[in-house]
Amino acid sequence: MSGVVTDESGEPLIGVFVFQKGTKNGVSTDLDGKYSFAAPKEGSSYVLVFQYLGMKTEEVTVEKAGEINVTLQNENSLAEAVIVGAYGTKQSREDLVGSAFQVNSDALKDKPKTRMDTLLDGLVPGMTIESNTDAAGSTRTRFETRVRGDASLSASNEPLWIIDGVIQYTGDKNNQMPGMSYTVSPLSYLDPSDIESITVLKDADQVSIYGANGANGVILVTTKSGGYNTPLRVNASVRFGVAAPDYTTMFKMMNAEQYMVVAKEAWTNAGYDMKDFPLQDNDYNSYSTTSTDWAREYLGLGTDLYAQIGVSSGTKKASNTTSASYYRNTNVVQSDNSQRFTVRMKQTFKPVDQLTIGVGLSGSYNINNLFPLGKQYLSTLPVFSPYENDGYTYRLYNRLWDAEKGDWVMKKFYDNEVPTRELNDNRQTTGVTKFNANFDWEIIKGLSVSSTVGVDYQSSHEDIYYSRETLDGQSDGQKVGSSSKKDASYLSFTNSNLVKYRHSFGDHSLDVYGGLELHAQSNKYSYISGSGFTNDHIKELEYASTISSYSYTNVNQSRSMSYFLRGQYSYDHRYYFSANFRRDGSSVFGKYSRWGTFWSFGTSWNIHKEHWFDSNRITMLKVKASFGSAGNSRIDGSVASGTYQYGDSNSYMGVSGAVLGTMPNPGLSWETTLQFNIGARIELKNILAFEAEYYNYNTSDLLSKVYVSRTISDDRLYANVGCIRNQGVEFNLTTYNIHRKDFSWTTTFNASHNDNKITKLYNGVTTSFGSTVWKEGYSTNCYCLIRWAGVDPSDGSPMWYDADGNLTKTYSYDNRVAGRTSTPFFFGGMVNDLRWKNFSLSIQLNYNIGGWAYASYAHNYMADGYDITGGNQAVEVYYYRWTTPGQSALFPKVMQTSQHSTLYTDRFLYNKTNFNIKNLTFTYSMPENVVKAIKMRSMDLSFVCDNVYLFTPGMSRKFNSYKTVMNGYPVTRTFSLSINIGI
Amino acid sequence: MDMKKTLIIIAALLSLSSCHFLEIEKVGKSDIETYFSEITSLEPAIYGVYSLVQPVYDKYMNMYPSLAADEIDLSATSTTWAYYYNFMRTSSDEASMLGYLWKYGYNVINNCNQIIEHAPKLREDYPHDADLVDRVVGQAYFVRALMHFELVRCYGQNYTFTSDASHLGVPIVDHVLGLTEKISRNSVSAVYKHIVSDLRTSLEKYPASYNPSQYFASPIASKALLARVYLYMEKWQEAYDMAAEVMAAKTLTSRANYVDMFCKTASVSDDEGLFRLNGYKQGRSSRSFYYYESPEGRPSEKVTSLYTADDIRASLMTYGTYGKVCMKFCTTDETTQDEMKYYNATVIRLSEVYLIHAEAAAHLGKNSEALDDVKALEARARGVDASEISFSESDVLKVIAEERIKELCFEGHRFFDLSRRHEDIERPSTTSSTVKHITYPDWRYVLPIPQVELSANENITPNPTSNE
Repeated sequence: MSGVVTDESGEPLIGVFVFQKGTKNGVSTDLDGKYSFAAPKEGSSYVLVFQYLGMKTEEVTVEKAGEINVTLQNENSLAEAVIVGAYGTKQSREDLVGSAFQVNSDALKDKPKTRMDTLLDGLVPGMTIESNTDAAGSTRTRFETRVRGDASLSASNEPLWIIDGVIQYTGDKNNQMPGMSYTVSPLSYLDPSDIESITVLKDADQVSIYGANGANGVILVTTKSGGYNTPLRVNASVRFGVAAPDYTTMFKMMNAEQYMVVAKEAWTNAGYDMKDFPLQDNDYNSYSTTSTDWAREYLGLGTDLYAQIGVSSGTKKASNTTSASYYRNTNVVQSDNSQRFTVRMKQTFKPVDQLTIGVGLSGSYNINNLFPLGKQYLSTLPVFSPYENDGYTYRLYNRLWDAEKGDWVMKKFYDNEVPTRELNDNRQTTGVTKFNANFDWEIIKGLSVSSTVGVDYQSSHEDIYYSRETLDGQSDGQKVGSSSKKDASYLSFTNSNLVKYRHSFGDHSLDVYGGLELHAQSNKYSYISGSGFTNDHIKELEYASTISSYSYTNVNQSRSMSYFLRGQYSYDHRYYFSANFRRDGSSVFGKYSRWGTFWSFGTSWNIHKEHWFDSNRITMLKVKASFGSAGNSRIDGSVASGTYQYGDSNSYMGVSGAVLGTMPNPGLSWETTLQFNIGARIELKNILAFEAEYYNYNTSDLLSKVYVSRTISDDRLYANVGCIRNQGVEFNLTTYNIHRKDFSWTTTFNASHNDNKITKLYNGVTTSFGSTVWKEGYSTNCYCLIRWAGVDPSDGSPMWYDADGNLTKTYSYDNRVAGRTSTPFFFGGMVNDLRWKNFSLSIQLNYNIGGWAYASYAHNYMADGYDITGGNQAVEVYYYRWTTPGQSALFPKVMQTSQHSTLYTDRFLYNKTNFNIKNLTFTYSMPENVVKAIKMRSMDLSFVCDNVYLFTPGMSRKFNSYKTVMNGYPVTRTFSLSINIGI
Repeated sequence: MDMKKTLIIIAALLSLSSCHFLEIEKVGKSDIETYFSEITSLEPAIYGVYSLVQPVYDKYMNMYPSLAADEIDLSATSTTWAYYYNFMRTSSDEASMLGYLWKYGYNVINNCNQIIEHAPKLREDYPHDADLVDRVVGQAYFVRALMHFELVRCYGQNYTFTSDASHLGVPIVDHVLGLTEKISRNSVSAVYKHIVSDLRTSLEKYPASYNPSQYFASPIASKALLARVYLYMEKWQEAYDMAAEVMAAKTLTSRANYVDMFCKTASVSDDEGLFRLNGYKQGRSSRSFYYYESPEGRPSEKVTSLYTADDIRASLMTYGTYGKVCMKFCTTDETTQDEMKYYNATVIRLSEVYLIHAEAAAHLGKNSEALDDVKALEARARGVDASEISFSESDVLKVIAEERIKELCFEGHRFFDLSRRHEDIERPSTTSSTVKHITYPDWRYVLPIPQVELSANENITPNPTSNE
């Protein structure tokens, strides 16, 4: 048997694995793409399999010996079987030693176009994406992404994002963008449609090669490229959606009538006289007749528009893809919107077979008009109105009775955000440019060098203007108007240079690469503000009467340099061994601990490739294990070397001075996580694919601030102080339930469990932060709260358990006990894909079982009447409050002055169990003959619904439950129609 | 293309990026060694020190010695100071004076130590700037002594609490400490010895030509502080001599300028201040504490009842229609410009030196000389000639004690005057405090050592009783 294997362009393919199906008889093609294969005995037919990475596997039934030439087709997209690895390497799932999970464009195409990270919610085992707060404050929610738990106390817990080989800056350690007043995530500046695949690297085998920044996992984003020898193709899509708040997820407050009842009762119960009650009707405020639903003043319908066009083509020696998109979102929080313009180009050239040159260039321009609605949409008293009595002038004051003065006072109505929304500006414009250039040159067979240079530059400008007509723009009653401008630029530069060597001899194959990576991050900020404008039309500071003396510019830089080496050896596609080594230097650390070394070893065994293993059903059975280390260097850059700070803040007699900043701490070193991972994967042909992994990660040398003697330093100092362990299991299961020509049903289900525990702390000392605590033997997300014992039916007073578990009616902070954690017991997602003829339906369900939330809204608004004249409270306060002796009530007696019943108590802990139908997509693909008739390649029509419905235990129409406290704003439900065409 | 060339290229790439790539200059901050490698850094470092000293007085030392004693009636709404007024402070009250004074005090000392430690190298590297180095180092020694003095008199019992002053004072920090050094409390006698030595060193360091304004440490400030330290140590002869030296070099502020000395932001032409802290762009907690519109603390009857009608100092105890208010921390020439609303805190001034001289003289048996000093201050205050004033020589110590209240009230003396003279605290019956009387000796005369320090450093002994 012999023949030539070529690709679509007729170029011979080297190293194609050709083997007889069901046996291990196989050969590889030579330099000319030729193979020759000793045919088994004459007469019987058999199947030859042609396998090559990145190409579709071909199977040819051979009846008799002779010459068979095969042309392998490119995989149109990175098929699931090919996993993107570190530094642009690709590995087939069969060859994979470590733990990497990849989500391809198909799974992302109907997701919201807002930002890149939230797309992955529920799709990746072991990864959680949660908003950083459960309270309102920013309409651009910051998300916390965690891969396999929190590995650090003080350094960042965020994974490392790498887009096409260039490190993506995602903000500081809490994902905040320094230099801006409001954070808009850089992950929202990219068009998610440009993504070919997102790979989440999780274990030591995969992340050690990223050394110092790998401990929290690495997320590799690969953007789409064109293929060689492909005709010109155009893809275009338009999507329009209408969004509405899901009011069933909004926190429920009292209405005006309920409020007045409770407020008066709380006032009397506090021992005050009703004649001193502040909310008495007067000519300026008629409290008894006003009833405002504040949420409805701020929330309403939103829209979502997305349009995109992409063109790609390829010749024998060049390929390119170009795309442009526009996205506009108007939020359900009214007057809050964003727009994004993106353009992207990616080209590769292959002048000779040994050399590939690639360039990528993308730009994006973003306008974010923010209305960072705060908790006022809930807490403002329903007996206030946003307008004056004339019904249209914005209300800036309320007239209240002041008992101390014995007179009416005009009190500033800061809670009224309606004028703020209508008159003030809060706008961010951001330009993003990304480019990268790379080459890969095979010098001699098997040995190649490659290099990538990438730059990601982002420049943001923020305009905040407080109108003369709002309280923010007034000073001592004078209408002045005030304006502030912030500029920030973020430059990320990455250069990596690799030498790769790949060699096969007999059954052995070796794949080695090593290289050098340089990374620089430079952030620059400036700020200027002023006030005194003659009208609200001129908002530029050139026309301000006063420029504030508090103006600044600043720069923050960090650099790192790394050497790395990875080797993978395999024997006969059965046994795999891999090793990684990386040495990282970072400017963040002191001279004596500037360099850190990271390493890992991994192994895997393809059982299904064994001679003795003979099963047609089981197409893959594989076990793997890895062990190694990764680090975390993302902490404030000045902590290691002692510093002297120079500046205006330490001036004396107007002359700038300098003072000791931090004490030198030269021994400070890297947090290191030792990661152990084992896993198994089984694939049953056309039935299922199942993968299970167990991991145990131990982070040591945790960085945290500790108290030292004040005679040494006036502040706490960073030190390497403790250890955290994260261990867990992850399952991912894909089942092909029905697989027929006209009907198919596939289910993908994943489940993860993570157990997080602090195993050691500095001197064993417990540190508590109000409601949470760091304590040995407990989770890093452990709550420390006073156990609630209910309400005394005799007098309606609150009761607690003290630290020893005895009933007490005295509040004490010292009665807090460490206990429940916010870490869920299990979490994950399930996607069902159904297809019938030209119709398809996809439903994604995310779930979370267990874990507790100390809900901000609950402990803020179930306040038992405390300061009720200052803010509205939850509906439960009305229904559950104690009113009469002997009544067994859930909530204590309401009182204007009661304050202890709501402090640090576990009565506000909510079980986080929830099921969330995240996305539903219904698509109709036009039949091929129809499409062809109108000279198109494809045409799809989709109906998409995001955030379909959320279930939580104990949810109720009337009362609050976890469903209403889990988010700062009600969940936005979006209905969209989209059309995709291909030419 | 052969492999050799490739390897050369790779090697070149690697060497290009040598370790310099990782050296980044941090903006606005530099590491300590780099900072002190240039002579131009020295002057800003001492300005920085003053900016750290100012809050010690502004936030704490302008109030505590008055309100812990009997000079202040504290407003019922004051929350920050109530625990001190009622002597209920415990070592866990870190977010109040007892935590911050310890923290700020040692931070100032550490800053001084950085200067003192790095100066010799700079003096060597920049021989032409030897005067500059000496002048800065002299100031650093002065401030280091001043901070040790404030710490030891707050956290330690007075010098004569035990006959040999062997009781616990505060840790002496006379060098840049390493992170693992565990330092312990020195005896009061050792601390005072160190203070005296630092002040003596400062006098040696100041170059001959150095004669700055009263907003900086100076030879005359060092001498005045020495006089005060000797007074606390009851080394009467040394105090007497040192005070005389200062008095010979400086004249008292005139009666005409006396009020303006406190109530104007610009210093008066004949300001008798020996060391004051300029308040421009600094914190002004004392101003809001005493601010006439809504004072947290008002002068007590114990102070106001002492003045005769013609006493100009009485006019600092009231303002307009605001009743009894202390005007030593609010200026009356304020503009609307926010940053001009400041006051300059007095640490030591000539009138105090007169009273040190008087007290030392009295103890040395020179009663008439002692009374002459008091008369000089009384005469100025009342606008009469010294000869018109008469005191009984047998009452000399009582006269001086009373004059110290009249002249130096609210300037950080009263509480320590009582403790060093072993006197009880006797508050006016009208006080809103729960504590009307404390009999000397008592552990309430010292502050508890903050818990943070006790936890972080097991070598530190807590103060008895008050650290129960």
